[in-house]
Amino acid sequence: MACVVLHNFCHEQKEDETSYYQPEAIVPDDEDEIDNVDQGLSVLAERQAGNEWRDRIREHLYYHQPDNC
Amino acid sequence: MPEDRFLSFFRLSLPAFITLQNLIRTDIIFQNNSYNQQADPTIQLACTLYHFGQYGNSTVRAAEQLEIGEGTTRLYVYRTTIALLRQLPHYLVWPTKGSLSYREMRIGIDNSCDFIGCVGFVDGCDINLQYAPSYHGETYMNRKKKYAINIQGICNASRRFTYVSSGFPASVGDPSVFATTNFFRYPHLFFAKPDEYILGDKIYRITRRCVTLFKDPLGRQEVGGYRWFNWCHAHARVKIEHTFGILKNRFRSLQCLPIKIRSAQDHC
Repeated sequence: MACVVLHNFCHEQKEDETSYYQPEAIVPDDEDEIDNVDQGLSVLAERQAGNEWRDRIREHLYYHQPDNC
Repeated sequence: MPEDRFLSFFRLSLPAFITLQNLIRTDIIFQNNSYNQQADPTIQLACTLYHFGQYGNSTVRAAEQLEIGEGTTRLYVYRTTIALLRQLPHYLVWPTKGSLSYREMRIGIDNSCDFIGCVGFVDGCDINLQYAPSYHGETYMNRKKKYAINIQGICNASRRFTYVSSGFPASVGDPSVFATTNFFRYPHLFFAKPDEYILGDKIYRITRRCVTLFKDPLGRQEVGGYRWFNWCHAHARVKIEHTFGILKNRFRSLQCLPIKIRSAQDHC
């Protein structure tokens, strides 16, 4: 864990993002986006939801696939 | 000392080293009530970084380089590690939901790959142990027949760790370890929007928040974009492999950790 701290520290130094993890104001998200996908589901229902979600992403990628691929 | 030599020895650039020593030198662990004052925190930090940066049992080499005893080297490493771990909440934290850094994290990934809504990449990594643990040693044996500890990491597009979980012996598989993390169990604490998710390799359990590859034979299908999905997925997810690679090559002691696990306390 100490090495991970050092890794992130080096990264911060490299990118000079000293304010990256400073406390900052929280910008409220849109109110209508209620996150109900993390409700307690059974393992099978969770897998089913994951598969459906992955298919949606696949279709989106397929639709936007470059012609030469 | 030339800068490249300094980097080679201590794995940090000189300005980063100075910033780091200013950060931890006021830590309470570097102060004692004895008449014999501790060595300067700079020396202790240098010794620790040298130790972290060397493969295998580098305590002897660090002691020789800095002309101090081996026991003193271990003490320095212990103190500096404690001081560094106290910086953990500042340098290893999942960005607060809705904060600017959270949005930057998402935008960074949106710009780097085709997965809109992805906020991280998850993978596991084994940290090999130099010595066989005498405390339930068989449970530390991984699939490569090495004694190791499993860590799970999530990184962002710029190869910075945003979440790390460690503590399981390497015989426990990645999906089982990940399933015990707070990230997996309480995703509502980490994700700001319903369309956000992380990418994991095909060994992970697919959920709404962890999108994995299509396994064979589905992943071999030419029609339907399954192969294209897997290609894009692998192309994006390679960042977490890079992140672990950078970590283990910068701090080479992680390639073969010279610790002996004799009890549950040692494991922790």
